[in-house]
Amino acid sequence: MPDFSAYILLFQKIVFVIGALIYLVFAIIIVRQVTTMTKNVNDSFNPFLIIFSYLHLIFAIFLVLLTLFVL
Amino acid sequence: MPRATDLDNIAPDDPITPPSEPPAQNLLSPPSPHHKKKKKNISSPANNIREEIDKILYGAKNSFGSFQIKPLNFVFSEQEKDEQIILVMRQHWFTNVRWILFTLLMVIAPLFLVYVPILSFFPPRYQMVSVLFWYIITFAFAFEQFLSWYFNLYIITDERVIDIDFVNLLNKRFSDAKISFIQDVTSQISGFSQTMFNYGNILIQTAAEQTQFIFEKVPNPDIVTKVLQQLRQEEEQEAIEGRLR
Repeated sequence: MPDFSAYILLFQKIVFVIGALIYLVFAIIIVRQVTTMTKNVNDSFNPFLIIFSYLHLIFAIFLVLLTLFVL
Repeated sequence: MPRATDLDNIAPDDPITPPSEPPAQNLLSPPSPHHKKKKKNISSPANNIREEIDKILYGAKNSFGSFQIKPLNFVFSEQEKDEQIILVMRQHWFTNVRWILFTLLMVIAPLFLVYVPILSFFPPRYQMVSVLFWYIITFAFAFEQFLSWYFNLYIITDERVIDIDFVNLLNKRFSDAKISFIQDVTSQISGFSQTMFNYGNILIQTAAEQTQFIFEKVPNPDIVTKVLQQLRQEEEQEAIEGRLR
């Protein structure tokens, strides 16, 4: 009898990896958005926003790696 | 003896006489500080209006970055060379309370998994990644809400009113109208929170391409209305004096 639980886990892993990749695209869009906005409007808080957006991108990359190698 | 060269104005044999008054200042050279000081003290109607605007503005309450009076470090890409920013506004800070509370709920939600074990059918590693996913989505939600508040700006300069909107992740809208095109300004405060925290909408009717501007949920709407009235007066004064840009 085939081991269905292994297939279910593989399916779950694929779902998580696709989710993390979609999230990575979203994080890249946020970085692009913040960069464009800060070019249009120059305010004193802008450097913090850029740092935040890049931290977010790093976290999204970390999530992709986590789903690929830990799950 | 030197001779006059301009024959239309002076007869050819007329000697050039030295000017009795001090020579006019060269327009290309910067005016002396003394001259500048003297000019500042002149009480013209335009200066009076500016003083009145300052008086109105500095009576306003600070509102966590949503009401910035003549900000020093603020520049926007469409700003013209001599354009002076008078007021930069965002929506009142209180408008953020809803998404902040929602974010806090999202932050504490995984704690309830102890009582409602909906992830229990996952292996522990999958449970951990699921919770991590949840928190990163929470962060993204809060960050996106903050960005849309932070970059939705209403700017009043000495020449224009400007509305910069970042509608969603990829859409930016910029609209402006000259102060001289403003026909009517109406402010509206309605509801409990708006009355409590003194914020509301300002409706600006213009004769420009975009006929209507709505400054939504901005702090101190009555002060903004007064400032716009003063600026319109200033523009009228400039038009009378022929200094309109």
